[in-house]
Amino acid sequence: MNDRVPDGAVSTRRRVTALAMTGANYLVLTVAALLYVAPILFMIVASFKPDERVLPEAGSWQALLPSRVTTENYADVFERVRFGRYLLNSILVTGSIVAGGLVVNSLAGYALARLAWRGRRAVFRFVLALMILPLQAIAVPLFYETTVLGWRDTYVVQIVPFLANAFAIYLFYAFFLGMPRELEEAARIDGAGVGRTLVEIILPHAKPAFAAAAITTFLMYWGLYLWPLMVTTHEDVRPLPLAVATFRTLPPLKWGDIMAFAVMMVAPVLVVFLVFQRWFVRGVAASGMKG
Amino acid sequence: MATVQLRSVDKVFPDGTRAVRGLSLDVPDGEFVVLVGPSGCGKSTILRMLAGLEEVSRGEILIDGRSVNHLPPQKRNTAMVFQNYALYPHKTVRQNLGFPLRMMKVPRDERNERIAQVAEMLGLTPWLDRRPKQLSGGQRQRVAMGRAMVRDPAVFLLDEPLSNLDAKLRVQVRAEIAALQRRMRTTTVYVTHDQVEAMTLGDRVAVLRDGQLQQVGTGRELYRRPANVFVAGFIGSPGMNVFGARLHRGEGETFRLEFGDDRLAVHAHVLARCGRVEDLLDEPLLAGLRPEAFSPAAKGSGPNRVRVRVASSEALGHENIIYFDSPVRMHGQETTAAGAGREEDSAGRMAARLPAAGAPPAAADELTLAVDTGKLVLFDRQGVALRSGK
Repeated sequence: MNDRVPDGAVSTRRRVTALAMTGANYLVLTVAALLYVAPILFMIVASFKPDERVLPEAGSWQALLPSRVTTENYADVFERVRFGRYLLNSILVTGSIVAGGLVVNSLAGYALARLAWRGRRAVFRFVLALMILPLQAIAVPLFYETTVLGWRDTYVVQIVPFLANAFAIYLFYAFFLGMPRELEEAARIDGAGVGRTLVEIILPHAKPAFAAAAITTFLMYWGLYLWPLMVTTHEDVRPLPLAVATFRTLPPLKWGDIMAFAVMMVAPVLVVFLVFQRWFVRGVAASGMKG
Repeated sequence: MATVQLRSVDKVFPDGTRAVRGLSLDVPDGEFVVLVGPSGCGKSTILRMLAGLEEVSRGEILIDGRSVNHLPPQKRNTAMVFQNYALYPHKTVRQNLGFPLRMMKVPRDERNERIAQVAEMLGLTPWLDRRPKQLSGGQRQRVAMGRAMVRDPAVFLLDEPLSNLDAKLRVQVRAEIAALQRRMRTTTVYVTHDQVEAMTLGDRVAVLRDGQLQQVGTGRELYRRPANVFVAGFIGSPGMNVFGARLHRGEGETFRLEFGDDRLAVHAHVLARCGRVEDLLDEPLLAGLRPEAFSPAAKGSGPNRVRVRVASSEALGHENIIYFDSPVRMHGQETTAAGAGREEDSAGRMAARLPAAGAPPAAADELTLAVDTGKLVLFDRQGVALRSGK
């Protein structure tokens, strides 16, 4: 008896199986994407709805569709709180952490990856160990230290403790380690000192690492809540995460306003990510790190 | 322009590896010296020490008579071309060429003039505003050369600059480098593992092995009068056939060398090059014959004719390289740059370079070859060449 199946039948069966697999993949991915996107979509849609329609429609599919578009929630936010001030505080604090951090962490990463100095390995291990230390673990001693320094209720107390960042140092370290050493050597032979080599040759080459470090640091600190809560009491220096928490408890409870506040808080994150995304991907790939 | 002198230079890396041992070498002003040797022989380390990228563990390096051991790279007035060119990827060709001049604080007008001059010389003018990644391999190589030339340094250091080019381009650029150096007469130290490059480019060639200088001389000297069996095997492709031998007195002015069942007659004048004949007789020696010492001969016995069995052959078009089972014990040659595997494979085999007449012989064919013993080189059992006066 001949059990052979005709070639055509085999290839058709294979094609159907492959198609079914692809279909299943897409289905799973679509469901996952919806699960992730739905809350964000809900937030954006609700921020443009009249406040009285936000809660009643929250349980139905209409929650994800704008019924009557209005910007009154956004106007409300600006009327009810000093949103501009909080935004400015957040930009100032996070911007300073990012800018200062890029300088400090890139130099530290370079020194660890490229310069030969006594104790380099020990310092590198220490930096690695710091990566797993959460803020909560050091918050109290840090609070004590900054209070002794008289830094409470200032921008400084929100910026300085976060300038040096173990993760960013490691990211730069990994990037610089992977850079061809000959570039630096060529620059030195061409007459450039260490500083000039860093500024003219290394740093321009390290744009992707800077972008990756800028984005990760920005994301890390834009939403920081615990530390500002501990060290600030005055709204003149408080950032957005504290403001949104306070705003939620401010009567009357208006979900449309809260959603508008949230949208305005998240928007800068999206802008930063979109601007730096191209380099970010390259930077993370080049540094050999996974997100 | 400058002289370069290395005085008993040692390099020991922190992990204890001794990369260079007691190296002494003088490079006169304007000379083109090629450092050649198999991978790991220390040639690149020597170049890096000259450039100031590696510290000297012991000994002294002098450039133009001045000790540079403690000078940083930027103060040595050397220019280096790296194996991977090390062009600054974010700078244009013009900026790459201008960088060393900017570091020297050369005024802008003069800088532009010198960039234009070098670009013209190297045929880079149309590409001045391109970035390295927009150039071909050959163009990149020329930019790297240009960046080295533009400063008019005292010494050029070139670290295997042709190894990333394809075979055809390599020949072309090799000729260009030779012509440039002849025109500029800048003292040049060039590192390669390719003996053809070494022989064709260098005024003198320094052969290195395990961080030690084996011999320095013109390509012709190295080929004809190798200082030891390493140089004999390394220079030439295939290398010299070196085998265990014993000399016996023959008739009149000739001496006998046993070659399996055959005997080779060696004239006294050949031996005179190697020292006192009496000291050589009946002593265990090593003898070396270049593959071209063999030539096809008519069948039958005759003076200096040997019968061999072909093991394999390589047809190169204009000539055939024949490998045959050696009738005598071959000296273990850890000498070629091709790697240990091939050395073991060729153990017990000899190579002959024969003119290509018809199809190359097949494996197991028997051939009769004539041996020109006038080209015989003798070494002592330690592998050191025997020379008269030694």
